[in-house]
Amino acid sequence: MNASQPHPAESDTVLIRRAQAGDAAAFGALYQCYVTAIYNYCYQRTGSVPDAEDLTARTFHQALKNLGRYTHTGAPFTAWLYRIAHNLVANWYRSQRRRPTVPLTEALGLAAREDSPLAQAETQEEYEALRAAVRRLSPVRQQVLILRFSHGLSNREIGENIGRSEGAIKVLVHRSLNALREELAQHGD
Amino acid sequence: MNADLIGEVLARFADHLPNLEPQEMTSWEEQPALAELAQQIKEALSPVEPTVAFRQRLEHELLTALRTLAPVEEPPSPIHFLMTRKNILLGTAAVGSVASIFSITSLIILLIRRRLTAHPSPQGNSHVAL
Repeated sequence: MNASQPHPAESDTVLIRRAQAGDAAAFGALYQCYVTAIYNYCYQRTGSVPDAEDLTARTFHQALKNLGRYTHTGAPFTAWLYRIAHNLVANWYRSQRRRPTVPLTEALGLAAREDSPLAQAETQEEYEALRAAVRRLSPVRQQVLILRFSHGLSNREIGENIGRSEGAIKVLVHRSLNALREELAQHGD
Repeated sequence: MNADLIGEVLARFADHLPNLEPQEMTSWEEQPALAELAQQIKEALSPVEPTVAFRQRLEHELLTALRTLAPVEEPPSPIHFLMTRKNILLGTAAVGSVASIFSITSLIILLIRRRLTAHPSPQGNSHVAL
């Protein structure tokens, strides 16, 4: 999905057409290309490895089931996958009725740090507070912040994926950051 | 100008709409507090990858499911169904019409033969008399 991921030699359109005809290799190539992005999105939304795995699996199973009905509308294939994942995450939130928290052992990006254990623990707590605050935002704000800052997409790419203009995304990112800052202030984080 | 185009134009120039907060007129990157917060989010939401075991297991499940799905038989299209239904109705109507015409014709023939039997013609009578 993002620039760091390998992209298949064939275009998505060709792979999708072949997958729709029952070509397992083509669907496998699409899966390999996008599974990390979808998993990352689900993880950042739920904060739980088992739930991220479950939602990722359901996203791709649903994509496979409905692949025959997929029609290229000009938006990238990921837009369709993100929409499926977004809806499944929304259902997950409704069914769970909970605010998930990430165990400290799952805190990210700290293994390589050379800070003292105390400093690492403090940083982990700060990151956890930030992740929890992000998950208290509205779904669309969460989505925009994750795509912008975790997936590293540009405003234009986010717009293509969620069906909004580049200008609208720019404003949405700005408002999401402000909302997050207020959220952190309210919760004394 | 349709509604979609108006919406697109408004979204494209959303930065300049009057109902925006003053700070939204400038990019968040130019605001130190928001830029710092964005950097913290990048670190807190560092990309994660699924385990190799999970990737392989899911891929196996998906490819197995794909093999059971393919080849997928195309469901009959609504147009095909309507055409079939129309043909059945037309065929039934045609058979009904033929049956009706045959019945009426048979009835008319039967009535004529009865009348001829009940009221024989003079030529027929003379023939009988002979």
